[in-house]
Amino acid sequence: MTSFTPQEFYYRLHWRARGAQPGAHATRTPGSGADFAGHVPFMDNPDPRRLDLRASLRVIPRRYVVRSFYERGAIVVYALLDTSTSMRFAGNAEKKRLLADIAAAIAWSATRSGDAFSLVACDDVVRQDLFSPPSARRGLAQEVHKKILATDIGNNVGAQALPYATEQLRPSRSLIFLISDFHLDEELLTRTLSSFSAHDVVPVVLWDSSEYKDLPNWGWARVRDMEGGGDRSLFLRRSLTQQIQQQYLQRKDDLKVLCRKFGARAPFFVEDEFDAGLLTRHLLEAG
Amino acid sequence: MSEFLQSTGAGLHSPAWLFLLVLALVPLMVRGHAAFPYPSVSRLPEDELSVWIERLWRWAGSLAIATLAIAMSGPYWGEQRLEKVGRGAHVMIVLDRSASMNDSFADTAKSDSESKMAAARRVLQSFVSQSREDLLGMVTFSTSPILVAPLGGDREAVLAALRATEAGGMGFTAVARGLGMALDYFEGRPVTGARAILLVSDGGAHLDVKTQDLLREMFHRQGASLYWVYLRSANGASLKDAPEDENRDAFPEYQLHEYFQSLGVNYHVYEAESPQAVEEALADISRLKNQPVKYYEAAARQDLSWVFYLIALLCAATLFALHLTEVKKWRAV
Repeated sequence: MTSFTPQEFYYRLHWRARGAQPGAHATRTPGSGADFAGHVPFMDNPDPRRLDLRASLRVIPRRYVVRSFYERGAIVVYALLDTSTSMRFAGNAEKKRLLADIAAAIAWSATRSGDAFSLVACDDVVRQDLFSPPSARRGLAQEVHKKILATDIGNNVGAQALPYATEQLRPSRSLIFLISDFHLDEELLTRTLSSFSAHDVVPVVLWDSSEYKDLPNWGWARVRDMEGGGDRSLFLRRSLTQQIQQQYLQRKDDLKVLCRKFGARAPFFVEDEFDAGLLTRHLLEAG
Repeated sequence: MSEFLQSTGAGLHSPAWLFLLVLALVPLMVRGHAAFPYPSVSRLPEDELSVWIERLWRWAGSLAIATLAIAMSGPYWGEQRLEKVGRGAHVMIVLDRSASMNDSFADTAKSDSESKMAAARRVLQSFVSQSREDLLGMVTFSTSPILVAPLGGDREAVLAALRATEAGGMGFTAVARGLGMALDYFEGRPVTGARAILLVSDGGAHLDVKTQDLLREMFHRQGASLYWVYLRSANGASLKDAPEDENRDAFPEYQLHEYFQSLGVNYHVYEAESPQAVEEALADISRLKNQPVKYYEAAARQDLSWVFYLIALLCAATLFALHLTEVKKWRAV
């Protein structure tokens, strides 16, 4: 396990962070970064190296002005996991394994770019055993991976605590990867997204291809809800499988609309396999 | 409902098996059947056909168990005792053709004395042609019995047989064998009417004890009544006055009469001294035997369990077909 290297992706913020920690992101903190903030009177920032003679000639009354810059700082990147029973689903991929992979990739990518990483997991309560406070120490990604794989996802639990996970977060704006299958009822999902609307939320949707695409072609199947939502009889045939796919496509669109409504980023859909390259592209395009 | 069941004779052979009907609730209530886990069924469409297949599955299972339980309890219907009324009688005419029948009657007041045989024949002919609903047969006897016409609806045969008696009688009077033969014709026939033996004879015969017992047993088995038209000869003894003890053997008619009385079956004797008396006797007999006879016939019950087994089989076949269509692996093939 020591040789395990999580996948790395790159992310960028489209907002200025507030933070004293030096890091890779643009902040509002004035300092010695490379992001130009404006011209200030020389006496406010008496650094002769920043002296802008051209600008000094332009200002009235004439005086020396210097260029001021923003500091580049670090943020906290959160991985918020939904550990309701439905995440035990294992179709063509194991959702718990995907959770571990993605969380480890986030931790790895965050620490590699100088940010702190924190893990919060929720089912009907906030999982304190899975909580890890913001940290940038080495080996964190491997540790998180191991911890998630070793954990037990409870039987017959929902994700009622997701809106309350914000209490575990720092109040300053952070980047939050909300990793779930998003099989939540509308009310819970709305509350969750609105409680995190102060943060930069990247919804990561874990759907298995066997949930809607890789269905048996023909035959009678009975399915049972993993969270106690009852049974459903399905006589699978072409029209019904098409209907199921249609419903999932519709759901995809609905999720996009809902996330936009609550100021979250566009959801990133993971099907069976997590590809950090795709996530990078998704994040950079959206940002 | 219960009256209807009563009237159709429906019933159960062993109703204890009906307790198994409770098991029929199991398929309706069971929730523990194998199912694929799915993260959220609310994402899946509610499909009408699938819902009905699920219902079919449950009800077929339930019905299979219920019908098996019913079939094991052995339902039947149609056991009933039919009350039937027989109108026509079954009459075996046992006619004496011994030589003495050629003589005339005891009542010699009439000058145109008709022989006993001729009188009996004439009256019997009218009796035969009058009886519409009866089954008739005829046995004549003298030294040994002769079957003339078996018991049946063929009157012509009987009439022809009666006409044949014009040939005149001969030989002795073997009453026992004649009666035995006549009774034999009742054997194995359904009792759909009164059974009567009409013995037309002018004299008795001595029956030994063994023959007496045999005849008595036959009479009882066939449940036949006995009518004896005694054609008294001019020198014959009347049955009405008992003879003296010492000369009993001289009157075999009276001994026969006593024996018939001791049979324990319906027995009437008509002592006819003239042709008119014979007519009266036969009219009397035809009235007696035309009394309707009530008898019960058990209709065979029909076993209905095969119907329930068939339904159970069909349900099981449905279940099996559904099982065959079931998805074994949650994968696209």
